[in-house]
Amino acid sequence: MWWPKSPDRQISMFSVTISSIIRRPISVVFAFAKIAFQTRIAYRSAYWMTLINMLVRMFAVGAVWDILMRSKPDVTDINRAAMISYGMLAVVLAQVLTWWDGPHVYVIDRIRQGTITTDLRWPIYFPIQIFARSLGDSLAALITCVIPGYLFGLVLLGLQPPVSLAAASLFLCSLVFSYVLMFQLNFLLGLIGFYTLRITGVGHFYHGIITLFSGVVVPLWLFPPALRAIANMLPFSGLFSTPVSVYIGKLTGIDGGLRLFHQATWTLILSIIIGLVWRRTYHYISVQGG
Amino acid sequence: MLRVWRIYKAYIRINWLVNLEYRINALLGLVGVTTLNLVDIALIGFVLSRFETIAGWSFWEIVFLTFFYIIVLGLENIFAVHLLDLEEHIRSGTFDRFLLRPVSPLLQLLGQELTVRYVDHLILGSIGIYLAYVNLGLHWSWSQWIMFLVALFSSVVLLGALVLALCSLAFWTVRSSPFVFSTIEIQEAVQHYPITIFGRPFVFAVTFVLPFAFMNYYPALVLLGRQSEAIHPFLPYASPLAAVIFSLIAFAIWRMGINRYESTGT
Repeated sequence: MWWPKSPDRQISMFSVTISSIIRRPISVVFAFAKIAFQTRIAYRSAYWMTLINMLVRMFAVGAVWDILMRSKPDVTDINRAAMISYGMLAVVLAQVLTWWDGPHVYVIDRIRQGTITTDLRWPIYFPIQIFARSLGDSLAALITCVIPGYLFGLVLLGLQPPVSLAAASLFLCSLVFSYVLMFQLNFLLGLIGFYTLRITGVGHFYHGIITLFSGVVVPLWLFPPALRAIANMLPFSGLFSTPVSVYIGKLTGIDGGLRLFHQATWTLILSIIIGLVWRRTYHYISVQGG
Repeated sequence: MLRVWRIYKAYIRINWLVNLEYRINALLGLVGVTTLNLVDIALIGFVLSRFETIAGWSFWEIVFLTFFYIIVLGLENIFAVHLLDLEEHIRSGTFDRFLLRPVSPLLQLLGQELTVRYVDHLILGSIGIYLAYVNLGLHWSWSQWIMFLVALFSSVVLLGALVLALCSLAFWTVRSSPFVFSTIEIQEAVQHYPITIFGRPFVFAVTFVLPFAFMNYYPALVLLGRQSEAIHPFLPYASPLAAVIFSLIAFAIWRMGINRYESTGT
């Protein structure tokens, strides 16, 4: 488990119930996934909107890399098809690696409505509870958007399958880390909401940072060298750059392993930070409400 | 006509006073829109520092394309962002109020507020256009400046008309925001890249069906001296005509919608 355990009143008060839920964490996630599915079905038009935008973006991104790589094929050491795949895969993955929506948006909504107290009364450690919720949401997004989008790309838009079986499995490993990293960053942003009651201002900045440094739009190896070095150290490069580079075969062997290690390290660091910050926040809320 | 103008002014004044309360939000908005657009353009900058041009367009030409669109977006939102409220008015039944008053419902909807916070788009867009102008070494004559202003004005009207048409669909479907927001990625593509790279069908779509191309691409062709790239030599100059045609279409859809709304009597 990546998250730190902490002796937290929330857990001890409900120690009886928690054991029954911990025993069935999968079922909790599926329960949340079911809710997320139902929401998607209830707001069908919003779903179509998301899907259309994703497909248009895949098409546009593909067209841009296509024309660029045709004009100067030797700018990078990967070929045109790989570059197009990079762009499109990042677009598809952005449906599960979301930074404009996600746990932080949920948390801030609940704080503003005051209903966060219900969540806090749940007999599950709060970060884990929110993670289960996100996982449920993402499972729904995976099935309704990511897989259809990926297949659409493969069949019609020239998205390439993974270069090898090794690349595919390394990609999946890396993607798990990406997912956890994304959640952790979002969750930390959401925690700011407990103090400020709004995250609009920071949110814009966050959005900008992720777009720039995660490699979701432009692969980091096309950055100016100094900026690339910085970007590679930051946790954000673990979000899109690492898994997608692995997928297209740009990152293999030792280099690939090192990048996964980079992801793992940041996951650990952020786990510790979340544990500390959440403990403070929890006391802060108790004082406020007490 | 004079009466219409007076009523509009009165509406706007009331809401201007309300708006003064939200200065901090406005400031945050400016920081936000600047960050996001700077990141967008920086990323294109990184790419073009390697590839030099995209379909023959240099970085500063792309800057021109992008920030022209931002100005248009800002102006349109200042005057007409409340068109997006239409679906909510229809859904909750408050649209009845608009019909009871002896003033055109469209005027009431547009007159809700001049949404001043979108001035941030205007500031940012102007800076972008200025930088592009300097870096491209442009020296516009009198007539070109007039062309610039006419194109800007037409684009704003055109975008407003398009949004009105899409929002008016709420008279039939109750919800209209999905139609509006389904065009986001099309707009993103048109805003940042010369549309020819997306192929002929796309060019036709954003010229004749959802005419976003008139909001930056066609004016840019004229102002950057690239008229020959258009699929027809008249199109780069057609922004005003497109604005008139699409305003008429949008207004017709709106009228049809209102008539339908009355007849259902909800």
